[in-house]
Amino acid sequence: MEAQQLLIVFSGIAVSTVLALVAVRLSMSLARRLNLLGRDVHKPGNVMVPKIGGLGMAVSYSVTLMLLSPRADALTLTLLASPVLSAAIGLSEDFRELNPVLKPVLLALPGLVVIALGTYDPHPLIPFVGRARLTVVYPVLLVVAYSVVSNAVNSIDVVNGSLALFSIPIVALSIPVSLALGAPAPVLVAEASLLGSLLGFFVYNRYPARTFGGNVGSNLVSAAMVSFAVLGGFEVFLLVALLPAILNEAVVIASMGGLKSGKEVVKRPVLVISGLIRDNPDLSAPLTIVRMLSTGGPVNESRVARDIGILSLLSSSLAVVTMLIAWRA
Amino acid sequence: MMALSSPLLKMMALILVVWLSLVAVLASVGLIVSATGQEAGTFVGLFRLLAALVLFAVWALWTLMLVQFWYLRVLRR
Repeated sequence: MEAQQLLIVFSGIAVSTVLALVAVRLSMSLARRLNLLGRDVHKPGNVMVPKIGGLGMAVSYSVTLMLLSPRADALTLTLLASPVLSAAIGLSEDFRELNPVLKPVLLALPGLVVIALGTYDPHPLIPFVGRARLTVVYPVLLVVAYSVVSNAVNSIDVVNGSLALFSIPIVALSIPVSLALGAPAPVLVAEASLLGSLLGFFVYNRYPARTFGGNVGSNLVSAAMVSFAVLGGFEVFLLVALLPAILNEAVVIASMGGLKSGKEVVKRPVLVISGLIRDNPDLSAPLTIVRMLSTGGPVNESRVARDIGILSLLSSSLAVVTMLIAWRA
Repeated sequence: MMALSSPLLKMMALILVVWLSLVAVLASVGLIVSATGQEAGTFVGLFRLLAALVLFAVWALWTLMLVQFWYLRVLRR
């Protein structure tokens, strides 16, 4: 049985990587045709890059999940519908910016899909305590989680390659956690599909990026990760693994004095001089993870992305330790 | 192999500190709410829930202050 599960995981990764390599390239052509280009702000000059590469990831994730999922049940439907709905909200934002206050409300909608399909178990595994019974609060936390995680992952997608380098360790380590907890087969297939999609996307998004993920990409990844954690019963793993992104989102919101669009920010957290990123000496500028990582002097963009990946690897490893503690309770 | 930068090491230390505090808070929150199953719908259950939320909010506020402190006093030194 375990060998069969591993076979499903490896086939899922292989199929979705190949599909993503094709689909992301097609989404780049589509973005050029629709003039959906974004300025690469950390490059000298006015470099414009296609910004909906995440659409290709959404296609490769969905197609792989439908092809390899053992059955078409409520679990598979949840793993498909929640991330795709979140990605659709992101795609609409890639066309036209959403109101910064309305956006978190919309991003909570994928959580309602999980509640409507009744595919959650309100007994999360908590360190030193074991399974807690949260029948009343869990659905509320679930809806909030989709919104918070979407914003958190979006806030980390700021330099070339950072979305993939941040997400790959989390999704990769969630697979052994799912296997250990005996998560349902569709969850394993979905995790493998997302991992492969991220690997294929990274080929085009690594420095110097040929495409950005866009809100469609970051929303897909975040909603998929929340769905895996909820359906697989490892919510605490995701909370710990996402610590760098959640901390980033929290300090950004706090230092900007509330929910604001990026375009409303007058002072930039970092300065870009000769293609190198450096900490803005103005202390009143918003605080971000990139600003914190560039306090040692000017750094290039690929190094910042690498550092974000290392922080994600650390937090994901700590998340595995947390699950081991929780499991023993 | 690329050397790890000083800000990265300091950020890794920050993540470790926040993780340790988070595990402690999660365990406390879990202990506080774990009995609510038997007391669902009662005032005791509601107060347990409120206490857990307040504890988590205090931790979140402390973490925000810690990150600001880390940036100003640890990373920028």
